[in-house]
Amino acid sequence: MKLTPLSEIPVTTKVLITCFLATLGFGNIAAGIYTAKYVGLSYDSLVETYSDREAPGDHGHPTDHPHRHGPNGEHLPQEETLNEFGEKEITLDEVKEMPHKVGLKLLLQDAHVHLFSHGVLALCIGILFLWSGLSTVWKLALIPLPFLAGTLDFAGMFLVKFVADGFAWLILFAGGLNGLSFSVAFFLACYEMWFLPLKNKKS
Amino acid sequence: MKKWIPLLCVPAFLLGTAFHSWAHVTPNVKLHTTREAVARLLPEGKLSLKEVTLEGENLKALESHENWDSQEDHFNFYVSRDGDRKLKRAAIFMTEFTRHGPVVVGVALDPEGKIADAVVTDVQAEPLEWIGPLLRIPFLESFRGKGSGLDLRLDEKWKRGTTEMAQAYGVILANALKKSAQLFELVFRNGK
Repeated sequence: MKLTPLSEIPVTTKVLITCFLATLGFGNIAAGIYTAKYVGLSYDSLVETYSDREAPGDHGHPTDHPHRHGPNGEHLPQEETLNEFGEKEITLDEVKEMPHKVGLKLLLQDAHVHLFSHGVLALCIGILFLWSGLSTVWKLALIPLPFLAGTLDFAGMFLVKFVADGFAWLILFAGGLNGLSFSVAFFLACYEMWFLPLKNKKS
Repeated sequence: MKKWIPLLCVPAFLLGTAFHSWAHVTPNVKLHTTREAVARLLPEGKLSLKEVTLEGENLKALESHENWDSQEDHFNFYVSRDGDRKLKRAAIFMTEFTRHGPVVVGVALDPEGKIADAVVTDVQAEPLEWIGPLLRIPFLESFRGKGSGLDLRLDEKWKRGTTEMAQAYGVILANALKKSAQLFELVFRNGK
């Protein structure tokens, strides 16, 4: 399918595309500032948000179980002694931090809502790559990027929750891919629409 | 033109690592540690821990309440008893799972199952903007003395000067208190 090059489309269409990119750009900048200021751009903040695993030293129970020693000197867990009310007497020092969880329901809901909208945005960015004057090889490399970014972003959240904290790096990587694909689309489309015609005129 | 694409890649990629914020769930803000909250909610008496797992008839009894929507089935009650082993207070940390992440409320109940005190211990960064105003007014304190029958509809006085989102989270906090009282009744008054 042969598309009219971006440099030759009517100015009205150029304005439409530029407005779309500018709005998206503003949204991304706002997201970046919000994240940096209020959320945190770190591996640790992502693990804290999505991981279901206990922090080091936390044994999953609200109190520690002091060890007893077996006949061979091995450590044995203390048996829980419950009082007549079925309660274990503890001290304030033995109260452990309650684990904090992001529920599966919320993750599924977020993925459902965001991937649909993200897919549409990725389609728009992919169309811009398709429409550009880049070679087929470059197009094949760039078009999947925004789709991959969104999918890996949410996949990372589920993987952090259910598999390993290390997948927080995948979330950060996906964020990078998102930024990269949008930035390339933004500058490429603006260049081809507004600067390439001037360059062609000069030559 | 092709020269600037690789040049842009690195800063664009680095800036883009911010974009995981699209994910909508913001990190947890810890307002009080569990230990601090227990110390505040149960200021007197000998402390003990009662672990409760809901199943069978007990779970059905709670699920019959319209407001009971807990995704958890295991709860820990921190209990304080006086020298005669009588119950002084019990405290529980109830998690409300919302669209913007979990909110954890520590609730202390008296021996009659009435709310004695409450404190928000954990909330995500985004909903903190809406819950924050409620924590600056005596909203949680207004539930003292109320039990499992408390009305989840917000009093008109709390609607004045608060946004719709704050009011929505007010209902969420009220539900955490109500569920705590309902669970207390099941565990301590109906003799689980």
